[in-house]
Amino acid sequence: MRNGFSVSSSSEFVNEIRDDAREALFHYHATACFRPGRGLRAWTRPAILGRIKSARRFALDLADGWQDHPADPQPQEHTPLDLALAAVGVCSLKTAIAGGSARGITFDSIEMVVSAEVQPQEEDFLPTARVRRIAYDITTRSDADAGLIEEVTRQILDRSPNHRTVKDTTELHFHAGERELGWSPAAIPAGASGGRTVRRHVKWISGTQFESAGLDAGGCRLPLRVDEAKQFAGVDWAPNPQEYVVLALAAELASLAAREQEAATGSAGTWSVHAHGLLDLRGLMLVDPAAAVGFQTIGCTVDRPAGLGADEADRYFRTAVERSALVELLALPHPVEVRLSSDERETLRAAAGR
Amino acid sequence: MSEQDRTAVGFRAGLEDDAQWLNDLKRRRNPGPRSVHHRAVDPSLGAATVAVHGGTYEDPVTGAVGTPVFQTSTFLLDDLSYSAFERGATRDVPIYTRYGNPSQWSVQEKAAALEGAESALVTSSGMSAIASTIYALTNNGSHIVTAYDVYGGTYNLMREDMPSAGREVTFVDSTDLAAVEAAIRPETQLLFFESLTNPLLKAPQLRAIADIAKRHDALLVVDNTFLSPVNLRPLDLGADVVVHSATKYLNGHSDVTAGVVAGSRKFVDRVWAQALRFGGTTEPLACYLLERGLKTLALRMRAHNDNAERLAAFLDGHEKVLAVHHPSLDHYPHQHLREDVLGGYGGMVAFEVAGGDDAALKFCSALRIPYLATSLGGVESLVSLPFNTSHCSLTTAQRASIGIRPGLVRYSAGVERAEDLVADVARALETI
Repeated sequence: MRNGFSVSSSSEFVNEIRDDAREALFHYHATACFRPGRGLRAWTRPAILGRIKSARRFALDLADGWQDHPADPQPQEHTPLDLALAAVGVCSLKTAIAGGSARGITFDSIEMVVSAEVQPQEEDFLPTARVRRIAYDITTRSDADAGLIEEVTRQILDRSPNHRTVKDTTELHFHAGERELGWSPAAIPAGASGGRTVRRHVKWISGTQFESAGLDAGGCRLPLRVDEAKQFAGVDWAPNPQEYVVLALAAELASLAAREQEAATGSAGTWSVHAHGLLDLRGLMLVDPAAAVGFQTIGCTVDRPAGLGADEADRYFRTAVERSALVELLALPHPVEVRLSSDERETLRAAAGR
Repeated sequence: MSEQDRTAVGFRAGLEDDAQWLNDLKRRRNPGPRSVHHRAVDPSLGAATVAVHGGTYEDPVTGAVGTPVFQTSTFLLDDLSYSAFERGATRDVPIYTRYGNPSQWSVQEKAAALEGAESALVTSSGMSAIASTIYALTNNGSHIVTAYDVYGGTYNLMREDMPSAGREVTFVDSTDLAAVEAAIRPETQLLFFESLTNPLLKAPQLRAIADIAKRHDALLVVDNTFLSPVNLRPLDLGADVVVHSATKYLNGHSDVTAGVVAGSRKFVDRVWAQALRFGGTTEPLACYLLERGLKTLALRMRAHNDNAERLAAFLDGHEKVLAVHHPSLDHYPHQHLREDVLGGYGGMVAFEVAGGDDAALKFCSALRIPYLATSLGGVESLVSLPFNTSHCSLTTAQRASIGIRPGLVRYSAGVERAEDLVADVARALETI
């Protein structure tokens, strides 16, 4: 085992998906539910990993951003943005470790501070803060020379699925029942700058296991665990980076739709949002150059509150989609800056993305 | 004789990697593990030939015709061993017997060839095989569908261990396809059924159940203990994994406790890793006995099949027998089995004697040939009564609800002369 990874298993998987593309298609699912008075909860649902189902039972209570106590000095719940940033950071580091393991590198440690500049909350106080730019500060210690580490780490810019989803344009789809809801992503204002920075520390433990903790005063500082399914090199310790994306997206939309209803009518009902996304491992592993690298085909389906008409529910949900920071983060291309430290030495300042 | 190489075929391909990225990795899943010294037989050969020759270790040093007994717990370390550790390929190099041993590889290769599988794993018991398979192929939060009349050891595992392991289990009538499909949930990962049930010999429609499993992205695991691969190959019918209590027909001599798991290398490697952690290793000496037993599997199954059919035919319509459960009989309710089996239905016959359990006890004590003992599949006939053995924890009413009525006898026909077994049963019936 190298870095807690079985290189042999990785090799077998690469050759399996080379022979049978369907085995490369991993579908991840999550549901989030906002209940008035009880808050926001999100959970993973079974994943389909190629032809194998993996029951994934992880649930998180999350900060909804408007119903929670605003003055809590030590919040115990993460925001959907916390989940999304952890997902992006871990996916990038995991890509570096997987690639490094294939190249024979043994890592002592690899960690990152992922930071996002976000705009102040919208004036009409929808509880979302739009991300303007992201930076990775990566620190590694390994047996490899700095040049090789730099090369491998830079490869995440092309090959990390969640990173590519943030960096590139990604299609998102939204449904109410069987009906697809049209929507238009809000454009990023030219030259817009963030109002504050959200930072998370991401630390590799072993194999596919990571932890990510918030670094900001006033934010939730409890560590988030990240892992993979045991069918894919993990130990079922926690959701994987793609599951965190769908967890975060479903949660933010459920919360925003409820908030929109509350703002319009004075009360909110129970909103459930089911999110899914597709990861084609042929992209990350360069098995098929035509395969998408990014986490893709992301979609959400909303269950409207009991007693709420379809047109009214569509209106609230569409507003939630169009004002969602995470929808914007995933759908539109965002600039990402990468800074790498190897041992004590600052070796790379690479600007990536747009 | 071949050049000496103790590693599994395909292992060295992974050592040549000069990978720049993951797509450059060369190792593939290979059938086995088997070394170049383990005989790989043509799968189109008959079961009798496969049973004799499959997996035999052809020793490059001595030229021994039979597989040597590699009675060792550990092996010399060398660069190949270290490479296996580094790359996570420790199933492919003999390092430590809990991980793998050429004696195990011989049995595994033979069992895999008989089941038409890429890979097999030999374990310390049938329950070790079943537990390792179920744990390996499910996750916390998953759901399993199985039969309410599944083997008692499996039932206990499902009922007593799965809830605390985060797996929920639904028990259904395995012959009711609608009930099987209705039990499926989004989180259902595994359907576990027996090819022939104990003791009433009910036969689930495995082809249809395999289709249900595939439609729901679930895996079908089949316990093929009662039929053996000579009579039925569940993988050919769409199952994903086959398990056996090798203690029974596969070994066939009532002198070894062992289990077997067979399927694709992808799945069996996972079960191997689980069994490795659970510690369900099979000793080399037991492997030697099991491999020797397997060589005569086809011969023995022919005798088991014939003897059970002869007994069933004799018992059916006997004035002191109220019911006979055997697939060879015209009134057997699961006629689809006749299209699926390759050779016969195994050695088990279940029947109800007139006079209830007291009469059954009297019948058993009057028998002169079979031993009164649990288990099955040995060369010697065995007889037991479900009411005071496998199903003793159930009330009379509970037993009746699953078809086990008073007077039920479970007779495992061995390989003795059929006429002797029939005469013995006839004589014993006269005493009740």
